[in-house]
Amino acid sequence: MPAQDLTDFAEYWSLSMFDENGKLRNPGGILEEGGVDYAKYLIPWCKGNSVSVDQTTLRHPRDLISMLVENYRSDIYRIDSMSRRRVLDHRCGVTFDDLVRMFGKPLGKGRRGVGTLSFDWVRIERILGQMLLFGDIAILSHSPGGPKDMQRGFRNTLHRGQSKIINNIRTRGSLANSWDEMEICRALEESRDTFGYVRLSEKKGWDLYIRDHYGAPSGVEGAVPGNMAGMSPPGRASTMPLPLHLVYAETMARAMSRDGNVWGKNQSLIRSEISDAVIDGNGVSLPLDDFYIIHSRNGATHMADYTLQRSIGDLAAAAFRLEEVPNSDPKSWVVHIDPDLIRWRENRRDRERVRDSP
Amino acid sequence: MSRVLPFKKPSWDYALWQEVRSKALIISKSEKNYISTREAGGSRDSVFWQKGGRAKTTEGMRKMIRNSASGEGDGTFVYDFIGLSRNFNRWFDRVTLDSSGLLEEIEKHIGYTKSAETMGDFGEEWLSINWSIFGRAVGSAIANEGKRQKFWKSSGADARMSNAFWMDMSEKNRKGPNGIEYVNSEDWNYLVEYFRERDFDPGAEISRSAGHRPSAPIFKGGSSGGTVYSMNPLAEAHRKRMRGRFRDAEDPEEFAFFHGELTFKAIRDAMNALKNGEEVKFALFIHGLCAHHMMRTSITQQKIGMHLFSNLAVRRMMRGVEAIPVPDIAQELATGFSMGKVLQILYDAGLIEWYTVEVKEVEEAISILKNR
Repeated sequence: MPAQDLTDFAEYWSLSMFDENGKLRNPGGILEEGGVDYAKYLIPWCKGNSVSVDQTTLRHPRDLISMLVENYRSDIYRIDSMSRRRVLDHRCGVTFDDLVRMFGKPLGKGRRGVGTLSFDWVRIERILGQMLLFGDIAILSHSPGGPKDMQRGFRNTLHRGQSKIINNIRTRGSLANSWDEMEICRALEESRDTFGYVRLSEKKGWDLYIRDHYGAPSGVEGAVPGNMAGMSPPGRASTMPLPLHLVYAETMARAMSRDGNVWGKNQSLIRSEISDAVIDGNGVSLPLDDFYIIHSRNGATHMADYTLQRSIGDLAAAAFRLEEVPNSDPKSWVVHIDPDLIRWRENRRDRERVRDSP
Repeated sequence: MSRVLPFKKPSWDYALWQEVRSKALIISKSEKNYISTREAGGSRDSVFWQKGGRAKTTEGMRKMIRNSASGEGDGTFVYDFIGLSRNFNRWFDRVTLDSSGLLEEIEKHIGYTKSAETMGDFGEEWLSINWSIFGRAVGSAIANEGKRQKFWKSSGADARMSNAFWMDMSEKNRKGPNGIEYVNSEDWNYLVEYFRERDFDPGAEISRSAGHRPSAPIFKGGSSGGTVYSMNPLAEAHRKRMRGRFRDAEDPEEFAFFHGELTFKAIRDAMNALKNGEEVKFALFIHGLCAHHMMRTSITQQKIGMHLFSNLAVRRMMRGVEAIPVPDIAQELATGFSMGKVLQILYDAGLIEWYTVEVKEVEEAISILKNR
């Protein structure tokens, strides 16, 4: 199920971030000014895929994507703060040394597990491989350019093996399982001296998302929408308030769990069943008993009340509202479901129909 | 399989309590002490929380443990019911009956403080308690307090990590305009990286918590010097109160050891304020406690805090449910922690009500509901 959600994400991302001519949209979220309509696909996707699981199980993928986003954000900030135009450098991405610092060494040492490959690294490679296939990241390094570049230092260039790595993954038909297949991490290791790094793709629209998530929103006096260095009141909502990158990371983690069990699978099933019950019913709500029973049948009775109010304090979670049924005896209630969650399910059903059609 | 409420009618919890409340007794000290000291194993398997109830007397309970059987034998058998402490009612009543007056009072209070600029536009968010984070804070405190009372070995590594984070952040704080302290972007990046390497991602916690600003730990804002990060002033105030109670101790290990006790004291202060009609103080104390609870993802907190305490609060707040049968909760939670010990800590901290109702009364009430 998460694998399907990842494919949906790639589709929704393209539909949202690019206009009908394939041009990247502008920061600020104002549709008339070419901004992104996050409400149509990406916010519903977030609401449908934000699960509550022990976050330590999702740690590595989330840390990796957090690091990619945070480093990119810091570098945009550096650029926006400078009066002279500068370009992004290796600081906007993640190097081999960054990965070692975060996840330890890829091959075991000492008495236990000499030379054995750490599963964390296999997972990292798989995530990077998946992101590379989707075009979310690029592998770059600094290499000496022409005389002008030599004066400035080094030039950012795309790693010459990137296309080959993509082709190899496609030919193999699966993500990495052994050190030999870990071509991205090996490429980073081999280009350590020239600051080899992976970074989020600007062309894919990650720069735009980061500006909409962290930068100034539209309507702030004296600030350009998306600018990271401008004045913006603390606590003010941003253009895209939901942490889409975290939900994306968590969905990827769920799709690539170690033992093959999909984390948060029950919660996904529960959401689908709740949304289906609403779509097939009155379109807005379902009886509270049905809400509880759906949770019970999926082994998560204890989650039902938590789900009802999880949206307080978790932006990415769907919101639910209870309403008492007038004159009911014994007293009973209905649960109104977040329209974004219903939209997530409808979008998904549409995508399933497209996939299933000959 | 249901234990007390019918499987298809879980929302009868409200009606059931209305039917049996007049027959309910407050749990006796001897019962509570016996249950908390003698109960062993996880919540689902305990003989005390099965269909058929438990013996009312300590002698009867002793027999149940010896025979590993429930609902059999002589004497009176009872079901335990628990609910959120009635002391919270004042808060729910005020929010229901006079939300605009309460909001005005909170905003007026904030307006007089140096935090007015940061927290001036929170609006109705002030009136929502973040129960899931409050539940996690309580869960963390229960784990910590249980260790101090030698109930179990799990402590509260999360509390230690939270405390270490706040100490590091305080060290990097710089005075900004209007006296508000900030951490600049560079220092923030260092903090995020440092803690992420130690299994704690402050950046992710902040992104997620931005939906409820009164309980969000950190506020992100812009300044002429770029993006800056400031502690939620309510978290800062809570931290100062905790430190005051701990006589300004700096050592995080020691501080973390008493984290549970200190948290319950902080909650008691908030409850006392509520009892005295100071709803504003109560709200700010609880928001501060939640904002201070930085590490929010521990599974221990979720099982015994979030899914036990906050579920009671949610049912009380959203549907007016005052008490729920413990056997149903024990089955749903399926926690490895002893339910009796957890309930004792919550009861002694004044956070829950704990009643017993004779099994035959409960069964009669359910058949009345079925015939309606």
